[in-house]
Amino acid sequence: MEEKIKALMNEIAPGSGDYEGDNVLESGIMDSLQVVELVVTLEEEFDIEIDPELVTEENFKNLKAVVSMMENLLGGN
Amino acid sequence: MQKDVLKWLDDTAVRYSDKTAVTDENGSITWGGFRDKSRAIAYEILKIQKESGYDCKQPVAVYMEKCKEVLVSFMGIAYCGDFYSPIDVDMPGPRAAKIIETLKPRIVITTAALKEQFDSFGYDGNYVIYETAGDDPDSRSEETRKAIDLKTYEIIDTDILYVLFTSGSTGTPKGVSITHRGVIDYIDWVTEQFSITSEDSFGNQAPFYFDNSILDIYSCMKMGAELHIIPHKLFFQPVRLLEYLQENRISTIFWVPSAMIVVSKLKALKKVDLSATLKRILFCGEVMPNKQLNIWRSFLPDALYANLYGPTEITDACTFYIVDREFSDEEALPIGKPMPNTEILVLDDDDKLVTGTDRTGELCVRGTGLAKGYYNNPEKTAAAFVQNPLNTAVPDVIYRTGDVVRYNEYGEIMYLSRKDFQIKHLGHRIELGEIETAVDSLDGISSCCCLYDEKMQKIVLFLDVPMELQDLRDKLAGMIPEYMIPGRVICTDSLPLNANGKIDRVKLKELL
Repeated sequence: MEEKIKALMNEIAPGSGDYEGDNVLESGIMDSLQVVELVVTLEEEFDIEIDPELVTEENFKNLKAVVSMMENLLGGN
Repeated sequence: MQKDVLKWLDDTAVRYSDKTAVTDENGSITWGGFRDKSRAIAYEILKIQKESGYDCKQPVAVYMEKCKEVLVSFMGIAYCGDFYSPIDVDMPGPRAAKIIETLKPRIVITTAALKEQFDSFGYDGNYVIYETAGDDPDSRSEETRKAIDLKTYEIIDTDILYVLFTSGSTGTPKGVSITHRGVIDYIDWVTEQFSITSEDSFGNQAPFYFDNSILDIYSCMKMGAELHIIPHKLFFQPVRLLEYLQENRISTIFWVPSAMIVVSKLKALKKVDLSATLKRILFCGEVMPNKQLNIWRSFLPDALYANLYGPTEITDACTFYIVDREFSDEEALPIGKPMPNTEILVLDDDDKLVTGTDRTGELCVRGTGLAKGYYNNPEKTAAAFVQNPLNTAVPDVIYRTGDVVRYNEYGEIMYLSRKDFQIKHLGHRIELGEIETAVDSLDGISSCCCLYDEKMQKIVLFLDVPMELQDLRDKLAGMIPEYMIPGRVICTDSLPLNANGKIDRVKLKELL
């Protein structure tokens, strides 16, 4: 799953999946509309619904955070 | 009689001295405190003016993170009769250096922490350090008060108030120079049209180097309303953003459509009910899709929605449309009609006036809000600010926006497209030529072309040599702002040329 999310992130905001720092949002690599695109794409690819309340800095600040949020969501199914 | 914007601050500081003026992440300042600190900044500027013997009515740059202190600095500069120009702290050094070269600021207002960074742009002039401004008790003396009052008295309404830099196709940003009169004219309309009062609270999204912020700043200053600088990071956290609006009882927002789209696309409006607090939803800066606006309208049907349109060159906006009927998701939203005291001329290729609904033309503007021109750039000024072709009797300047429009059956103006290669991306106005100029300067590139993929909202770069996107990003990062860096690269052996020997953009567009 991590590889897939990484590829999706790179596709949507180039470099955001490979980014190794703490906060891809503050770095400017991923902007707010790309966050929206990522949410919509994750919903489609994994056939789940992401509650808007989950769209936070903590959950989207880097690949690790996104993966961990997705694991929680999918694990609950 | 009002000839300068300082009158608003002076009056409001008396009427609402202890009322909160501006709030940011670090706290609030009252209108009385705002004025006092502005005058302290003015004192420091006058001191430098006296010591170095230069005249007033000169450019002063402000180099700070976005915060309430930036606004206080703006007014301190204005009190002296000088004019302000904010420089984004996230801007790459070479671009900041170009702006400084054009602006030639006499003084820079910054913080102790940022001074060194500004030094690195090659600036060796005077500084006012915000934190220590006004420490000298002399700044509050009767003599100082008189000296500042005299400088303010000497302002005339056609003097420049601010210079905002916007993308330039040759790689050098253009400094749009706006007068006191332009802002007075615009804000008088805003506050009247939308019935703004001292009870209102504004939720500011626009950066201060972007002129949408003019509406927020000066509407609040004129009426004694409250301005909340929304922390930037809330704009990708839609539920928290709406909670912020609710907690701070924000009544009015004036955002770029992309900020509104994040909220509607992520379905955040169903989580937070703003119907009791949010009264006015204004937007400007790019096309607002009705599909997204309809989501807002369904959750907040009683709010007032207004689509404002205009380039920086006409003091933020020149036409408006109050949303007064239903639209299907696919329909385009009108940009409406001219504001009072502004005239719109839609001119065809032969400079003949377009009327009726069957033809298109370029939107041109006349009015007192027109910029004086591009600072220290007579060529670009002469190209965009031209004699009204319908008037051969007396000098009469119009601004050619480069936007192609038509009238609909209601007589409302509809935006169609650009005449040139200017785009809007995330609310930023970008000349694709500025990106191409930066790419051209990289080693190994012989030919490139930038297009905007409107469907994917991506800047696409075509190159005649193979290059990885990541590699390109790294190289461009220090040259152009992050929002200008292409989101996709397409490498081809050679770029197609049209009959004139120019890169064939039509053919390239088919490759998207």
